[in-house]
Amino acid sequence: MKEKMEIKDLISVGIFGAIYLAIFMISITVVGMVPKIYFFAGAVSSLFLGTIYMLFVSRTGKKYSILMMGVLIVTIMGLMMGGLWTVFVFGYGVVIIAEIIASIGNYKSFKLNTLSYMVFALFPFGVYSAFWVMKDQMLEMSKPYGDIYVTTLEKLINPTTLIYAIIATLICAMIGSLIGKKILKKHFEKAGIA
Amino acid sequence: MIEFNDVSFSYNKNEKCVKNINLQIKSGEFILLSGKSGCGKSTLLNIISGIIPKHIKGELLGKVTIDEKDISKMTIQDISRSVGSVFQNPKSQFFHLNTSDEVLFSASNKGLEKEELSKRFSNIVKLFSLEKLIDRNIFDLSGGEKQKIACASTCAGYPKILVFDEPSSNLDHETINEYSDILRELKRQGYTIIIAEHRLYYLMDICDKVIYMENGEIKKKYKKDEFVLITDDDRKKLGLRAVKTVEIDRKISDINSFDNQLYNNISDDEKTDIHLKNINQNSKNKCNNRVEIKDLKYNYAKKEILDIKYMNMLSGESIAIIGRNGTGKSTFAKCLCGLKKSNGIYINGKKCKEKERNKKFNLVMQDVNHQLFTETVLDEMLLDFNKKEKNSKEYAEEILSELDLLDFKDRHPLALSGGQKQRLIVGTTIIAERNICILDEPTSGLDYEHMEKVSELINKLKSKGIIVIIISHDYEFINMCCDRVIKFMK
Amino acid sequence: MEKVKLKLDPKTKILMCILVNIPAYGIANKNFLLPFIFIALGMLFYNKLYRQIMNYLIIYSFLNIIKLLTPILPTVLVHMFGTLIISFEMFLPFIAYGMVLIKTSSINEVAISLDNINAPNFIIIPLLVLFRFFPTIREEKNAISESMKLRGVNFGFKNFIIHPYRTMEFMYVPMLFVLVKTGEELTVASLTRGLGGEEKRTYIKDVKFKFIDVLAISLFILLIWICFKMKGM
Repeated sequence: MKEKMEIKDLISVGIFGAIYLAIFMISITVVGMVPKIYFFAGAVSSLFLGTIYMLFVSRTGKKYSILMMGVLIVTIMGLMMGGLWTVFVFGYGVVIIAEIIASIGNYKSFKLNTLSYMVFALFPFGVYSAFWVMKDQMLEMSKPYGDIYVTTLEKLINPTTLIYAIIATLICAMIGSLIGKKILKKHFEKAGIA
Repeated sequence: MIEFNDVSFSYNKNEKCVKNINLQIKSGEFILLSGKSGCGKSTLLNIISGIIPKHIKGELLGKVTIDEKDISKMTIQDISRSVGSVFQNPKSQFFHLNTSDEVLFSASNKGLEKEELSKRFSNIVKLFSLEKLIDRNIFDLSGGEKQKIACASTCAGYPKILVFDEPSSNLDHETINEYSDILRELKRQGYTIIIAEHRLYYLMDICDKVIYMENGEIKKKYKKDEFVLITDDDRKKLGLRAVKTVEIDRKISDINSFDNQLYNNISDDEKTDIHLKNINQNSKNKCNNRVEIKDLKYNYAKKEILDIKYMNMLSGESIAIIGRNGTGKSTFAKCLCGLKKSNGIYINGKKCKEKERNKKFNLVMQDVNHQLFTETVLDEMLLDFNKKEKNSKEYAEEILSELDLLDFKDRHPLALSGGQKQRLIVGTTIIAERNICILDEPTSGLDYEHMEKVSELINKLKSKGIIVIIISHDYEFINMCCDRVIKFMK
Repeated sequence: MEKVKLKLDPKTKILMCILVNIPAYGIANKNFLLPFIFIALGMLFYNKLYRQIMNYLIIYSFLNIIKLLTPILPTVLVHMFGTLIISFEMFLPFIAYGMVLIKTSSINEVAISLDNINAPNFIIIPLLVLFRFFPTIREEKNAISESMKLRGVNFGFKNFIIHPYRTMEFMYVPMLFVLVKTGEELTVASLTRGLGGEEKRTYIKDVKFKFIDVLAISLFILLIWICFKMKGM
């Protein structure tokens, strides 16, 4: 029987959400400074964030726990990054799927949790998909400023880059999850908090 | 009002944390729970507040009633209507960012009407003298101020019973006096108060009864008049701290006066005597260092925080630094260690820059959990600056053995007890052959026995020729192991 | 007579942040966004947030200057920052309203306004805890950073590139340990003050969704509609 979320779990969601968001925002800012790899920022950050996700699921793996943390993170990130509807729709969708995947194994299966994280780590693509949806709009806007803008934009926003970015994110999330498992085993289980 | 009937509790089937508890606490009484660390004081308090067994799971046997109601049938939130709890750590009790929101937290959770909330707010602000603290960012407050807000927040729910778990652990003397006044007023207003404490002196003239616990059982119930008469030897045997206010029994120098030059006026022979008294000549560490501070200035946000003209320290001596919170003691410690940019520190006559000070000095922080990074205790000892000399492993084990940590060498550092973690960090100071070890409030929350152990630890550091600087409010401890006392003032 | 201060419900401000993106991303001609920006700056002005207005105008001018200079900038830079500049332009109105939201409402007020529409605990509590922990995370990070320095492992960019895993491990282990412990203590301190009880929480502050909020949102939507109509003409 699956346990219900209690106050202590809600507080846990808040804390892990805070550290996840803090590290996510910092890595996005650092990586995002080089626009060429802008779309890969999510991938890089997921290398580091896997540990936090794994520790969270280990401590607070209950029904809707991932959903709550995910919704919290996506909502705040969405509001901080422009409030585009695509961010929320895509983000919530990804989080719901991540929750379902992890819950199948009752939040205790490493393989399913990893898969869950790989899906979860895709949430930043809500922002990127906005560029895509907005492509025509942006092209129109950049016309007055010279062809150079137009060509740069066209190079950046195309299906190939997107696919590469998604694959990179999935791989990095998987690695991040493995790193997380290692750190949990090496430290947190022995320290008694995993 | 509160009644324990043959109560016992255990986390698992094995050992009971508390057993055979039979206790009656009358309405309006002020009870002091005393005893060595681990005797079961906190467990008892947690049972009263309902945290055990609803939040901390385990087997609770026996019957506990409050006002004749069996609390095992109530939720923690229901119990919180009658029982308010204040804990030790000021940093982890607040839920909000703003002090005003925090003060009304328990009243808010009760769903009271706005006028009632307003009334309680003014009452509580008046009772706790919070005028300067309301509507501020909690993170800007000092530890003592945070603790005041925590206490105020609990009282705003007007619970009939108040339960305190070592609230004075992180407070300085003046703040403890204020706290003492608040407790006196709360008692006058009719609250039933149960307080578990190591520091007993500030409660002696407020409490009605003292309950001494040992190994989970109530060993003796004293009436206040009986307890006050306890001799020093007896109370040390019981593992208790001072019952009367302790004053420092040696000369106190002022950081800003040239008094520190105590050592400059002593002849070299006399200096050597002090040296030899403390230092073990067989120690591997270098033992004749002299660290001087000349014109150390540190400013922050346009305010002058430190302005030390001269200070002199010799290998093997221990210096206590006392003073109110906010007078720059921690800043001084950080400047010394090179964590804050500052000049004016000389080792054996040579100027010492920040990076070098990072290597040569060490700081044992108040929260040692910030300082442990590796997988095992042994790894932690070998971490510093990648010192992989040939027999560093043997040397590390030697030091661990001296510190009673050899049995734990494969344990994860974060799984150790607080005292063990402290000893481990001291161990890393010794193995890295550092010149100075600064300890920030090493005895907060410790009972007599553990305080003695820390005192031995200090002597060990001294015997290795390390200069020990101790920032502390604990005068009993300072009298035990500090050679010099320096006071910081605004 | 006391001056009645017009205070909008946080929900209204959040809605404005979201709604302003419709014209921001939907209309290519930037001039249509000016009225929205004026409204936001007006709200900042009303609340005496002059410094925020200054900051905003600086960002705005900076971006426009770069835009004007593009013909003469080296191609490389344009390639790199071109997309950033354009997207930033679409972002500007949102930044203005974001400033209004952050500077005129505390997180507690947002929580209260959500509580007013009976948002469940599992939305409000994590939200409050999240914002309460940001300063804590910063404090812990500083303390751990200092400890690392004392042990010869600097938490800097160089170390991250050379030993990424190790540097991350050194920061993570103490940080997560302390956060978890603090969380446990906070939970106990909150439960014993009645959090999670049956009663509905009440507050001393007045945060209500009033007529002025309905008015503000209606006018806002109207303005958006007008802009789209005019764009079509």
